[in-house]
Amino acid sequence: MAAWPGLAWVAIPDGQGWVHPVAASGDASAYLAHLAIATDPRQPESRGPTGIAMYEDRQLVEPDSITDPAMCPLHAAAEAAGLRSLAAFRFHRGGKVEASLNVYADESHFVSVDLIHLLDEMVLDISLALDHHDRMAEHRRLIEIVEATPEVVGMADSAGNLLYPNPAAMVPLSLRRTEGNIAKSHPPNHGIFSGKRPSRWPWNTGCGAARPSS
Amino acid sequence: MALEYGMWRGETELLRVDGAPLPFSQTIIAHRDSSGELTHFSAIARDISEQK
Repeated sequence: MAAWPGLAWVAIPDGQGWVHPVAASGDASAYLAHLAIATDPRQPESRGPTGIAMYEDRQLVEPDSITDPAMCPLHAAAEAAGLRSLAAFRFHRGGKVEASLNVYADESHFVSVDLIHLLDEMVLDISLALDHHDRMAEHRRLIEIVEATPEVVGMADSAGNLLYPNPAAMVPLSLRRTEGNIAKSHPPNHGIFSGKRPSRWPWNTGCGAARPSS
Repeated sequence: MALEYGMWRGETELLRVDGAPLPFSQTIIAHRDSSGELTHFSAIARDISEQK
């Protein structure tokens, strides 16, 4: 029975045209020392499964790494490590290839359609998780700005019920989430959500052109 | 006005905790979903009482 995976590792580009392992698992991890993988398609070191998966942005299955001429520079090392077949899957982050997952078996033609589908789903899930992580980090940065600013920042639903006040809105103003409608934060008869035009508001158009305020 | 134009910018008053009005320069934005339905308002306001 095939040892699965004999090796699994994650490759990340270094920004200078080469990829490096950042995580690896399996008895054949020593095989990684033999690898030199470029992401530039003009480099001969880019023509292995990992390089192709990354620069062509697609999955790549190598059914027999010992007999495939494209794997020639690594035949001896693969044979010594007992690695006969492999598949490379790329991760995306922000719409670009971020890394690749490379899995190996000690049996040729081991990577089945079902296994490809499973691993494709897995890297898709990881890609979604990376994008989600980035969106959450951006969200946290925006929240930090809004929470730190001395300007009053708030949000209300279409009926004027306060959904969010930043700290500057809560002290010393009377804006409180529990107070309900933001009309309560304005003087009586001010016109906020009352359907009346507040007499002291200048009638800016919202696109810049403004009427005199009085 | 924010509903009509998508955004309103001008001066308004907000109440302090003690009930006293404070003048603010405020921008109100009406946010709509892809079908054009109003979903919420956001507002940014600056205390301009020292300029008055």
